Amino acid sequence: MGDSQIFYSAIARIAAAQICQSVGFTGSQSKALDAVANILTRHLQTLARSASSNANSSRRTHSNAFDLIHAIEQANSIHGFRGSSNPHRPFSRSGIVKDLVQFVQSIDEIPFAQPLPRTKRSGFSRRRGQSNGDGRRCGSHSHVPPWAPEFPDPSTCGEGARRSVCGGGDQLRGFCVEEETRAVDDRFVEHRDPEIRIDKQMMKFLPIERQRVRFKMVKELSAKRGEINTAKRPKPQQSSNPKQSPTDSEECNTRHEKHTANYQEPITAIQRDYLQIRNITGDQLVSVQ
Amino acid sequence: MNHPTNEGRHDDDTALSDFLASLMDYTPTIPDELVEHYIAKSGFQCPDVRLIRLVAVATQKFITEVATDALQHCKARQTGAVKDKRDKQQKQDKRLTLTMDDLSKALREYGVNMKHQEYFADNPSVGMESTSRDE
Repeated sequence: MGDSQIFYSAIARIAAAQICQSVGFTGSQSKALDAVANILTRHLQTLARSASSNANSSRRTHSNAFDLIHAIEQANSIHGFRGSSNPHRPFSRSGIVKDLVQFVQSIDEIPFAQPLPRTKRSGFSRRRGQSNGDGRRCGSHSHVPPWAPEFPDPSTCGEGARRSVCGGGDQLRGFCVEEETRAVDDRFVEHRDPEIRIDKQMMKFLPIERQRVRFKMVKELSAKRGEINTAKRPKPQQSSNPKQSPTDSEECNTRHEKHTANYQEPITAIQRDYLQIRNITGDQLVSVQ
Repeated sequence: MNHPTNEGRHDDDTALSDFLASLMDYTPTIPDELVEHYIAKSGFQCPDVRLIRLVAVATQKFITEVATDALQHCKARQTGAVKDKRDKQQKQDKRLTLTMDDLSKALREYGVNMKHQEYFADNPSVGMESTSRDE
């Protein structure tokens, strides 16, 4: 079970506990609460799968309210509802909708205690190249259309499943390579430049997928960052190391420059959006786009 | 067969749209982020927040009904226990605790067959002692 699955299972458990408490229970067995949370998540997925199937059968990828009402009717068909005997009933007059209206009006509003991070908008896993909430996919799964359902969590793939995927052909090789890389060093994630690895702790502060923006240093950095700016500064022709040839020095500088420019992206995004550190005086970051 | 008139159908459409609009101001117990996560896994695509709230409300209604039935089973079981006149256990059983037995009975009416694994112990007294200690 992946980290996100554990997280959302815990959230579902809390929501189920809140519902049970609002009904009148004062306590619960742990297994019973787990069962209720499991049924809650399964009911959510059943409704979503049925509504999506209804939309697809109408040659649509996006579901609408009528698909969802039909899905709710199908889910409640076992227990029955008002007006289910009439096969020509319009969805707007469905007894399910009337029951939901009465339910919303009758119960007290118990919102979730804490705000949750909206990871759906940022995608389930950026480094695994899966979809984000806007329907766009990135990484190795960019060829998958956005209306297709998500891939299962790679952590749920067993050793045999992974071997079978690897043997499937060259198209899925990236999937296996990512898994192997993740198994080698789980603390770091891949970057475009293979020499650079970004800490997972830093990735936690970036829940939103952003466009790639490159920055160019215009002015001199402050004294604290002087060592980074030395890479941007034009170096004198004479090398500090007399044994090193001028061509090697230039190559080293360009490599260092590239390395520094790539490494500035996550730091800058974190500073701008989350940590909200003020711009250091003397620095001006100009978008190159 | 009753065919609704155009006016009645228009009223129903208005009522449905009003209900969906009222969901914008309603906060279900199941958070939107949780719903978005699970419906996205199932291939449901819709940027409308009202439909996400509708899914949350429908699921909350289902869980509430199941929990209400389980509560009735729990109360009925306690009522039967009171008739046995066990004064000592009467106070302990007054707590309304959701148990697997009540939950499985309630879920059976909704088409969900839930069976939990039996509890194994050396002898029956071991389980009774641990239960009494917890309570």
